Amino acid sequence: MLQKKICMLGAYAVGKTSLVSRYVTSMFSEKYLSTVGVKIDKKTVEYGGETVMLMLWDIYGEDSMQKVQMSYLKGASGYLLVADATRRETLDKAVALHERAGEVAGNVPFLLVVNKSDLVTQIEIDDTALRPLIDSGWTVLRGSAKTGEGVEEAFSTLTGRLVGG
Amino acid sequence: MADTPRIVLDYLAALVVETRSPAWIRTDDGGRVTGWGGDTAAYRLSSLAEGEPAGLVLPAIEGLLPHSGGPLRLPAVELNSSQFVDVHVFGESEQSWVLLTDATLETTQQAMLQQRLNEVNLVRGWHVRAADDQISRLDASGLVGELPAFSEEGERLEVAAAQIRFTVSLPAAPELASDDLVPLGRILRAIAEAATNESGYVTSVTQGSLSVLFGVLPAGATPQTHAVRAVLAAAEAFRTLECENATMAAGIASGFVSAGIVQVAGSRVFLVSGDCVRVARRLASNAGPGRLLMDEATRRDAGDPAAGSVSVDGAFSLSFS
Repeated sequence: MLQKKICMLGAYAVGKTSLVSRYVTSMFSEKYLSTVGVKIDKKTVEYGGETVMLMLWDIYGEDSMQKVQMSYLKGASGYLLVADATRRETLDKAVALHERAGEVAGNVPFLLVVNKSDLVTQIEIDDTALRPLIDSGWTVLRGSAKTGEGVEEAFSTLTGRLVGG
Repeated sequence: MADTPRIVLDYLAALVVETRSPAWIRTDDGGRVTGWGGDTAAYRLSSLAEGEPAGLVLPAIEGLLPHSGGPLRLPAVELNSSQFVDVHVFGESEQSWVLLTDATLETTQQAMLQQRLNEVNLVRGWHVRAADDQISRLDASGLVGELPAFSEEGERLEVAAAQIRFTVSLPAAPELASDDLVPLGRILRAIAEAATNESGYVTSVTQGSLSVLFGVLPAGATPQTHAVRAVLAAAEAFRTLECENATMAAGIASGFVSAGIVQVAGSRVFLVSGDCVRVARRLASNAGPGRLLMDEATRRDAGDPAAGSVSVDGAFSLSFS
């Protein structure tokens, strides 16, 4: 069985833990509990006839006081950047984390999930903000850990890149 | 450390063993287990077996072995539920070593601080956005010298927001006498009393409505239960006042709000911001006379008071949006 390590990266409170929880257990909670350190969840999936064990590294969110330690990314097969659609600054943080992640993990597959897209009246990350990233080749998905929209698609898209090369 | 006496080093080693429950795993150049020791039981590593890939036993080291280069440290890895461990990986010729040291205590303490810090930062962000929103709507000529200054302290609260709307027919302005306002005062007082008796926090009062938050002040039941009870009590009080041509309607919505003290032009104001406040207002507007509309979350969490349609002497009934 293939094993693939996927890291979740993003600013604090963007919903990294909620996305993992939605994907692994189909559950969602409105309560915000900050992550400290890293929590590793596993999920076994079938992709293109292969059984793949995904090791999902839910890493604490970065804030002004605490940078994410990039040693967590050693050995990662890919990573998922997460931004909060209602907080514009979290997109900038995702871009900055991507640059630092590349130095440790190398040129591995990644994609950006713009989470909390169900909060339509509070959206700050609009298509204009995402256009330059898409134009430069990023895969960007809007999603919501609360409704489940885009969550399966995000992880399966990334898995496809890890397995398919 | 070369000048550190042996006795000090021995003490440090004993201290680590006593407080950190160190455990180690040795692997070959293929990442397969060749040995282990220390307090592996503390980490429930019971399935260790020679020749097995170490990553199978300890997911935290998947992809890290064989290790070359300087030592690698992965702090605060949640190994089992609520157990945190620092993972250290270092290499020596053709074998790698994985050392685990318990970090549960300091990680748990850090988690509490981090939670508070992140919540304050979130609230601060919401306040900044609320201020931007308010200021963008201000008429520049009407600006006071002192701009709003937001306190950095704030909280994220789960509340039930109630909006109670009422109408009283009053004579037109030229004929309006002070006695005509007595019923209005009685209604306001009765509703406010009903709300505060249920630990409600009245956030605004206008001529035709009251906004009340439940969940801000300490209370015994859920915010939703108190909110529904308060509206029913207000309806009962409203009925006993027997004001002619007076009507009452209400809306309750639940959710998270950010709340904090705001300083505006020298005054300290308790500011609450959240979607449920707006939703409650909208529900109250849409509720017909004698009706309470509530959202799904309120209905779910209110318990018995909202278990079905409740009628107060035929004058007030519950319905669900």
